[in-house]
Amino acid sequence: MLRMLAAVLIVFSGAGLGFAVAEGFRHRPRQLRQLQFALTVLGSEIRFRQTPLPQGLQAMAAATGGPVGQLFADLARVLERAEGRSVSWAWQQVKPGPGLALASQDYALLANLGQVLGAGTIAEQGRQLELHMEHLRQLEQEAEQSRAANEKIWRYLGVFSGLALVLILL
Amino acid sequence: MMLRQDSLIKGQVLPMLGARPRKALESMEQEGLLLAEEIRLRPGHSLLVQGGGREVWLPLTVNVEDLLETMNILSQYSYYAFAEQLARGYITVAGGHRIGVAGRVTVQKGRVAALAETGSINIRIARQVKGAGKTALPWLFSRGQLLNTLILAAPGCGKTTLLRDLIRLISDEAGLTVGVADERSELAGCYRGIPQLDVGRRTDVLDGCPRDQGLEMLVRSMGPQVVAADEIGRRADARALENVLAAGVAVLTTAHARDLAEARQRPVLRGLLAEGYFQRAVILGRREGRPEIAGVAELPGGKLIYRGEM
Repeated sequence: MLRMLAAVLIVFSGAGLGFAVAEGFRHRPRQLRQLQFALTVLGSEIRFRQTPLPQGLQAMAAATGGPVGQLFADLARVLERAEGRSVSWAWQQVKPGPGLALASQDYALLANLGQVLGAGTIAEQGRQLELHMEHLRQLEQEAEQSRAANEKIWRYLGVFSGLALVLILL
Repeated sequence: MMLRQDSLIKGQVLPMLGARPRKALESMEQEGLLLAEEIRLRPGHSLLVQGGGREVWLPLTVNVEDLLETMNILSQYSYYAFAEQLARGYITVAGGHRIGVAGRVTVQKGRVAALAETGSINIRIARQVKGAGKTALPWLFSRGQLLNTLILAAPGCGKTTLLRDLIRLISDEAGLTVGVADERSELAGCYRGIPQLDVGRRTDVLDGCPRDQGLEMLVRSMGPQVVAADEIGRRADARALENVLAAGVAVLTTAHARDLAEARQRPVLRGLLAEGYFQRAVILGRREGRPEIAGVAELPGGKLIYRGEM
């Protein structure tokens, strides 16, 4: 009886671990969606109100929240003290927070965004934002696929390693 | 006075500049800095400060980075918000200072569409000299009525400063409603439509509006007793002034000319003066590098009825 209980416990904790790791793969696509939303916010701030970039970044941060929003809040703060140094310089000073689950190609895209923020006319800025959104959508699809694959693998891995451990111990 | 200049320069002007030119200005001798009227940044040349009738070259060779950094600060990293203004050649920032910009422009359909690359920057510090018009003011009225007045001076003699102060005095102290057509944002120094300089509490400003249209719009919409505009000289201005006169509104304006004789040779001014449009002329000059009122003349005759301390 006691043995049975221990076996069940081991299987469950194995599965739990697997599910926890799988959960991590959900963050990246969600954060990529948040980034797209943030760019939409900036786009409409610029198009309809010609909001200056620092305030636009704060609007992005307020609308998005979480570790993604923090990125833009940090950028706005750095810009305030940048003494005119470029946006891409300021972007480099922003350190991603612990909650960010982005991949290196996502960061590369963000760095690229830093090169164009604030430059050009309203129409040009709109086109640039649109371009980056398109790119973000692609990355999101990729992330979604890798999530689907990895999620399953890690869940199965969790359950089966729990079972394997039980078999060995029995 | 010196104290106010100090906070103007340190509080508003220095933070507009990139780090290197800012430091160069900070280490400049105080008196020259406080007298500064224009700060010029040209890549490859020393930083230039003009003011009080003299030039000071600072020991800093301006580079392209300095220009970009200054533009970033001035535009708050938002070229898009200023693109339209930049195509006119300057932007007005909080405090009413005017930033003139030259460089490579792009042209569409024969008109300047945008400033593509910044080649040089001129920061014109907006200075309000309250009381500059005090001595001239009483001479511009006859039986409680403001007379049509023309301010004459060579460039840099404080035409705009005097006009601004007269607007303020007429609005605040004479109690008349004033409409200002501020084509180049110099008089009221509007930032997002709000005057940054004191032009009086009975004053309405049309910012960035062509003078001729602005004058007529003001008469139609704001019911002014006086309208003011800077630097008339185009044919359209003369027509607009005649319409204003027909509406029974007094006019306060300026023109580039050292004296009445020179003004009488200018094409558009000549017509207006010959027709007896103006009743008063205020003539400005410089004394020891500082702008001063040389006198007030009665028109059309040109007899000096007030002589300044020059």
